[in-house]
Amino acid sequence: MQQHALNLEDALQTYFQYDTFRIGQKEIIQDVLAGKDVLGILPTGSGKSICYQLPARIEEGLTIVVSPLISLMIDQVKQLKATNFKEVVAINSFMSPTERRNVYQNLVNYKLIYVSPELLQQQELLNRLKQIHVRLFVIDEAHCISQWGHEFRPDYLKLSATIKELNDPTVLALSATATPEVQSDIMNALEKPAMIKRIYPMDRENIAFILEEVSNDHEKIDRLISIFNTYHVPALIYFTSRLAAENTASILTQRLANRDVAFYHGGMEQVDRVSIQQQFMNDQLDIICCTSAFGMGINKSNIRLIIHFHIPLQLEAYIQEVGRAGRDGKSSVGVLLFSQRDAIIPNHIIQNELPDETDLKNVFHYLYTISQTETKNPVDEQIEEQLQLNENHWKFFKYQLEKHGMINNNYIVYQENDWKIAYHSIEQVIKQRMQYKEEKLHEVLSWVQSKNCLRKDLYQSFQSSYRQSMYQCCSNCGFSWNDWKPEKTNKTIEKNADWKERLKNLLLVGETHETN
Amino acid sequence: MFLESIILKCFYQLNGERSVSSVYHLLKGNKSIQTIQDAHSYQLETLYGIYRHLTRNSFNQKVSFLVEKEYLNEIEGETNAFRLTGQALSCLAESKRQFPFEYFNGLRYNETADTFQLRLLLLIQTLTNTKMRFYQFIPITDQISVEQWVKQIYRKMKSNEAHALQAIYQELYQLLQLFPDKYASLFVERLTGYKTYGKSMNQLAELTKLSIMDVHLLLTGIIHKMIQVIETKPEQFPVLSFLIGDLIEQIPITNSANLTYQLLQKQYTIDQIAVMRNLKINTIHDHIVEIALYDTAFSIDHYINQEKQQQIIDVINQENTFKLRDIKKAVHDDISYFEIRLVLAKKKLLK
Ligand SMILES: Nc1ncnc2c1ncn2[C@@H]1O[C@H](COP(=O)(O)OP(=O)(O)OP(=O)(O)O)[C@@H](O)[C@H]1O
Ligand SMILES: [Mg+2]
Ligand SMILES: [Zn+2]
Repeated sequence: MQQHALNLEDALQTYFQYDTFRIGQKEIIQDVLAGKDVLGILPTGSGKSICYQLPARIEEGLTIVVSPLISLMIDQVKQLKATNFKEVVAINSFMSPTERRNVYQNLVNYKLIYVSPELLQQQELLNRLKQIHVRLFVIDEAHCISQWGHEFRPDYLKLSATIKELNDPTVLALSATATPEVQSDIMNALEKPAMIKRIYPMDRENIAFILEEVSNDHEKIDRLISIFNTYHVPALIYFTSRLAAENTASILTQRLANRDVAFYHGGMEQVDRVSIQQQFMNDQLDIICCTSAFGMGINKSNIRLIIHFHIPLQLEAYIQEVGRAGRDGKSSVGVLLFSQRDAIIPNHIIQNELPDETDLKNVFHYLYTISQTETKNPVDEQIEEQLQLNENHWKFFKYQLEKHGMINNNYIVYQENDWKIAYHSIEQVIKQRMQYKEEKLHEVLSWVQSKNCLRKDLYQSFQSSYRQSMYQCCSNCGFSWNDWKPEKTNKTIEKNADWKERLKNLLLVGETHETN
Repeated sequence: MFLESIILKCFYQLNGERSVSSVYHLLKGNKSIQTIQDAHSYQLETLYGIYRHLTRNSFNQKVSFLVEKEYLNEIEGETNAFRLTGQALSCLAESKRQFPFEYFNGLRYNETADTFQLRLLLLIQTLTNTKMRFYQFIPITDQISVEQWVKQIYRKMKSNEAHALQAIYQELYQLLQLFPDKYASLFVERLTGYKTYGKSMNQLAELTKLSIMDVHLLLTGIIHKMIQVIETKPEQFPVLSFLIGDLIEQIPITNSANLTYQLLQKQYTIDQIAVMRNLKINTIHDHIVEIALYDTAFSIDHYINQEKQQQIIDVINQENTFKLRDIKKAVHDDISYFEIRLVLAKKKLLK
């Protein structure tokens, strides 16, 4: 045991240049190396990635990481490559089919692959994976598996079948935001009731929580301006709509002197996403106005301020997003701006997240018509277009229809009685999920109204206790802005040189740019 | 207003004979024969495929905007075909002074431009970072083909980054001097180097007070123009022409059409080829039109006799139209759409 422990520390040093493990890492890694299935719950920014990256490097065989966001996968792969771990790849929808095929044919040459749950359901990839030795199967952000998770995606529920098909590799599920209810749901969905639970407190001692009530969006903007006039620190502002993020970024650009502001959301082209993300990482940008697409897993050590311009839909999402702050352990602040009428917007968003009864009727009617005329299902895009469903709604239906045996391998199976039962059952599921989402939103709204310690109320549904804050606690415990004195960003001011000068500097031409 | 003007220019050239969709397909660089043929028939080759990221939605918005502003008039009796108003014509003339329409060479460069630009961006990023002995940079693109290509040539340049950078600097400097300063600086702002990441489209838009779409188009135009200069004087731009090297010579003809071509040359008939390749006759027809479009040496006489060809050309001239449906109505019943398309494909050479 002693021997093994020494080796692990060496490996950590050799491959990642860290001297010691952080809390929980070593325990989880040891379990994983011993072939035990683990559910690991550790706070945001605590270093969950090492728990599979280290085993992937030192063990024979392939490690598969199922990850929900492309930006997150790409970011991780790049950081790994930068540490000289080259046998990694993110299989994603940005790749051209040829590029993807290329990776598939060379799977044996990789030690770690990141993949979305949706791509993992593709037969071609699965067949390839079956032919090689999969050592470890990781589900990052595992709360997504739970039907009560905040990013519910049906393909996550198919992972247990995938794991079996891959000959039962060791399973590691990781999350920073899982209530006890969600934890058992994860284990059920993976069909791994005997998983070892490594649950650590997930509260963040170095983040102070501040709620500020204002009467409208104008006041929110004014508040932003005054905060940023006082503080020059790396900051994120979260929005629930892309448009609001874009607009606010441009307002801030106009009204703030000496601050570089940009926006980031899922609708941008890839070079731009990398540019913005890296400019921010490099302290070329001060403030990013973003949606939840800039979220889970983003790892910049010195973000000091996370402001929510809109109310998040669930406390879990809030914990994730505010968890971007202070990953270096220094004092950081989360601010939620809200006005009484804000409750209306999230209600509207929730309603759009799920299909309604009319959609359900249409789907059944449409499928019936098709089953009478054609044998094979039309492709997804066609159905979405025909029924005017958005992609997620159709995915939701498809999963339910497959579960009820109405669609089997893209064939529609018509059985009058079964269909009636299925209809009612799906109707029920929609109602339940709607109700669940409303309850979740309600939790946020009552947190926002709370007069108690916000830290206590935020974490109480996740764990029995929480730690004292290291710095100031929250606005209900008497937060004082005057006492918050974060280090100022040390930004190199770019000179307004003309293009000739810039080109010369950028290409390091001239004697000022020699390395020593 | 660049995008708006380009859309106007397209409608102007199309002369009300093609629908709104065809403009969209043209700007996106749709590979269908119909679109490529449109590009040729209406002298829109240079604008073909210059905006490959254009979304249907934003395109439709622009068109609605132009209709609302009374730049475009829907042609009576036709759905979705438009003509320019007098106001639009003067606006177009004005914007030709304002924007560099002449930079584009879409049909020839639309595929090359993206790859060339990504290669250049990544190469510069790689050389500057490794020169500073900084190996942990996050590459600006992760398109695998680009990454591998750059890796390959980096191997040759490594250990002498300073020299390579100096060469790139000189070539870019020469090239950029051919542009007005505002365009040169747009291009430079986009570059990523050691510890400085290039500006995003939106940031450039704010800097230049233009729309994101216009910035996109300008950058595309600048790249086209650069490639064109490099191509004409490769000896002045050894590094940059190496970056383009393998990209251009490919004949813009699909593999599938190429295979059909080979079989035709072996004297197989259309029917035989369709059976052999398990394709529809129509598909083989498409291939032949594509070949006729690109290969000057290809004779269509074998597929349509001279007399019919003349008849079609007469109709085109009389009716002054390239519209398939209109031509078909005016010619003899025994002339097929395939035959008309063949003549149209060839006609761009007859002119
Ligand atoms: N043992 C360690 N010593 C020092 N730094 C570490 C150690 N382990 C991880 N880190 C660093 O901590 C940072 C956060 O790690 P990581 O991104 O894995 O967090 P995470 O738990 O996945 O967070 P999230 O829930 O937000 O995804 C990284 O910069 C990582 O390199
Ligand atoms: Mg993580
Ligand atoms: Zn408190």
